[in-house]
Amino acid sequence: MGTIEITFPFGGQPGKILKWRVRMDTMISAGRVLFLYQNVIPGTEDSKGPEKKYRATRFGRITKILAKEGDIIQPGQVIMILEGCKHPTVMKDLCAECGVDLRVEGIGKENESTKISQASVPMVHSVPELKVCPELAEKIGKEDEQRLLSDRKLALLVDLDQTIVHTTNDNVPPNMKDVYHYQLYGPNSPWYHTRLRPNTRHFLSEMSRLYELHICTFGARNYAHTVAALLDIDGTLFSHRILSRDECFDPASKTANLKALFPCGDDLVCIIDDREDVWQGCGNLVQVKPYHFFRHTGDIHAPPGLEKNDISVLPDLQNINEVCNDENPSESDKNDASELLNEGNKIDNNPEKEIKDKDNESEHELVEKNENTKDDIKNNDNLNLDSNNENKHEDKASERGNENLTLSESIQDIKIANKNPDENNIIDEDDDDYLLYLEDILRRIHTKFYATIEKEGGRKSLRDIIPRVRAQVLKEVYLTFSGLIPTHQKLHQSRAYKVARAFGAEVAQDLSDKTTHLVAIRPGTAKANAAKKNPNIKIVNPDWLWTCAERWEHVDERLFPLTAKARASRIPPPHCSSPERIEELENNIGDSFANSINPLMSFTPEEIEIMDKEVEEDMDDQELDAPVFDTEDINDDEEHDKKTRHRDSDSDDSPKRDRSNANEPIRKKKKLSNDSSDDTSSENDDTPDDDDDDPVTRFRRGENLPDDLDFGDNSQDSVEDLEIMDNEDEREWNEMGAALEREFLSE
Amino acid sequence: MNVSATCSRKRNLSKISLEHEILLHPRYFGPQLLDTVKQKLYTEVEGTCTGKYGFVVAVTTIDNIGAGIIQPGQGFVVYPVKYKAIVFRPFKGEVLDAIVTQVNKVGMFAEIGPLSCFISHHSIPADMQFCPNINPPCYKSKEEDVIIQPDDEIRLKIVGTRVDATGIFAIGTLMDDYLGLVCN
Repeated sequence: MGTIEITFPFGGQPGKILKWRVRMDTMISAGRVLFLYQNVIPGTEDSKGPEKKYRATRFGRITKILAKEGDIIQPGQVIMILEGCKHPTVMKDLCAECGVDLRVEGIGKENESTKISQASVPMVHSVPELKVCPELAEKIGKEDEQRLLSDRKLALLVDLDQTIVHTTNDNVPPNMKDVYHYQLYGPNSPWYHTRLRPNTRHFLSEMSRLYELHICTFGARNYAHTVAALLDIDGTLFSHRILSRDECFDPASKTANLKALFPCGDDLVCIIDDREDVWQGCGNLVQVKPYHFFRHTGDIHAPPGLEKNDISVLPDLQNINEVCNDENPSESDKNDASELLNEGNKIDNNPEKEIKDKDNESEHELVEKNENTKDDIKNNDNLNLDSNNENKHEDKASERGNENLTLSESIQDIKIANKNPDENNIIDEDDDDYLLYLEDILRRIHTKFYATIEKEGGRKSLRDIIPRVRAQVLKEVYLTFSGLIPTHQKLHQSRAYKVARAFGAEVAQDLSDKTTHLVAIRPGTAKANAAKKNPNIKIVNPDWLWTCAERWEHVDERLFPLTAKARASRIPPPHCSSPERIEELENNIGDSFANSINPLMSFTPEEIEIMDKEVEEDMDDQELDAPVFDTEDINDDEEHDKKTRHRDSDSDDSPKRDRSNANEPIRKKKKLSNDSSDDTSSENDDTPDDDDDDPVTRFRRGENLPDDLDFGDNSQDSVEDLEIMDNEDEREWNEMGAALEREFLSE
Repeated sequence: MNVSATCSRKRNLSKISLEHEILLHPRYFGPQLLDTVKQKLYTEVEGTCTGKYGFVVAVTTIDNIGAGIIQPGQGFVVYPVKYKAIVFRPFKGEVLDAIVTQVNKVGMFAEIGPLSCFISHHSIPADMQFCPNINPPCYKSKEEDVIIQPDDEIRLKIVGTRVDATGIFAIGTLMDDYLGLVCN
């Protein structure tokens, strides 16, 4: 760092420069020949002796050359000025430019050790040790972006587990189709079994034309690379763009790495993941219906503490399977996985049959229907399906099972069925076709993005594009809910409302002329009866809405008729994202790259100075406080003074801090703004108003809040506040709600 | 192969005397005892890396197997062994041939036997551009006559090394005369 002067060595003879071997602005390293010279006899201009090379002793960039060819230089004379290495790229604490060991360099210069290199951004997915400085990262990021735009591509972050594969370490039969078996850690380590989601290869190869594919998973590095190798044999799809748990900054979130991988912002980044929580409401996320193939196995790489509660689902599945096993006692345990899916078809036959009676369905729709059934299972609603029902449809199921098989687009399945007809159950009947829908969604997003560029001239972030594409899905649809929202909840707070709104539907409390759809939980409600009289209103069960939300598609209403038996969940399945959260958080996402990398970096030196001062003052005050009992006025003033200043600095850095932490709930931001307004008032009138501190201030000081301060009290709070609350705690509330609901329904 | 000639030409490979202690289970006590000690020495030291001497490439001669000392209370025996081995220790300023393993936008990784090495984009001649669209990604010169991609052989100069207990890592550069792609 800094500038270095290169001088001609002392103690020697003066020399005459014959030829420069370097130019301005070149990087030189130690040992590089700078110029050729000959010694001259002092006093004369005669050069004598052999040509000598002058070599550099330091690393740096030449900023100034102070001597010309033919000049005679005296010992000790400055020849050139170098700019030292800034260590923009660092690998394992070694500067990758000059090779200096930064650990050694840092020793002895206590305060400089942290400043030696600004390199803090691990830009390469699989090599977290390799870091570059933010400026360089931004430069590289810009080049990447330019390249993507010129190729008419976008970046797609692909999650592995339960998005495009399902992996288990349970024992599975060896002859399942599309299941790969491997060990990760040597010959004695556990076996892993990975099943690719149907159509994965097709999906990836199609998407790689529109998107630059990245893997972004919570699996270990070894696992991620193994699965990537399964998916991408010749390395054309993902190359080395694989981010695994080993490279994640935060064990529970993937958002933190976004900034490092895409230093110029996530404008071109689209994410597909089955979990929304690890992205913390990132607007670029397209939430995917989780792929669940192996029984008893959820996401084996879920972040710690965030495992999905699959156990609650499994007992039901088992029950169903037991029924199934009773009927087909010959079937071995091995068939479990396929039975599960079979069962899905069986249950499904109920509504399906009715539809079939009504009109001829296209094959495609049937397939859709099958898929839907798995949701049913998940939603636990089939708990209520009594075994009679089950048996009644059982006989039909066998016929229909074949029918489904042929109808479903999985040709491979049929092939195998032909090969070994006895075992076709063992192989699988996986009718998950979600990737076809996902492909369509991603195509639409891609098209929309580039259409926007052409139409509007400037490009829009995918953060805006994705919600817009989503909002096209149910455009011109006017919904009314019946029995969907608990009476104590307001319409616009319910998740159903949010999902519907996110997909562009208008939602009204009551039926009106405009209403096109009634989403009802059961027949016979007042609204349902009223709607029946109006031929313009289509009556559907809530699964219609959830399916639309899942596929981003206006699904045919006839597939989801409202019947007494087929009762759908009131609560959207967790993978139906509610992007309200996203919209609000959007404002918080910072523009400045540095802010988001490290919160400490977002403080300007002035702010840090203020903080230091504050601490010092606090210390001083403590000293003062002790003997100061007699001079209460002064003390009071001082305290007030201090407080004001404290708040000042608070409000100063509040916007930055907010940005630095995109997850910070809105509520806090509101508080901050309250604070600053408080602030001005207390500055204006000089009377100290410490006694009537509002809870916010007290909270900031770390005091306990009064018990009667109820956040959840809807009655007097404004709607806005409520919504904020709702968003913030949505997950918790939903979970509680879901639990209650389950209890309620099972009674 | 004439080891000594190779060693004198390349300073990074050298034949040095080393010592190692072999811990042997009593079950090996028998006529083959010394063979077992030798076998164990090969498996225990070859391929390891010490910060001081670098990678032990191969044991050439076993000079002396000292008197075994039985561990009290265990029955295990410890043999101090003196041996000569070829060690590989990279030095700053050295020029080496390496195999490229990964190419990315920040630079490229290469391997010199057991030693992995990183070359930053800035240490690659400025006329070489990173081309991410080609599979595999590569660095390409403007005239497209030089292409460096994974599995290519390059000649590089080491500018820095990080030596720790388990391995050595090096920083290399291509910014000097006669460095870059090695044409075969």
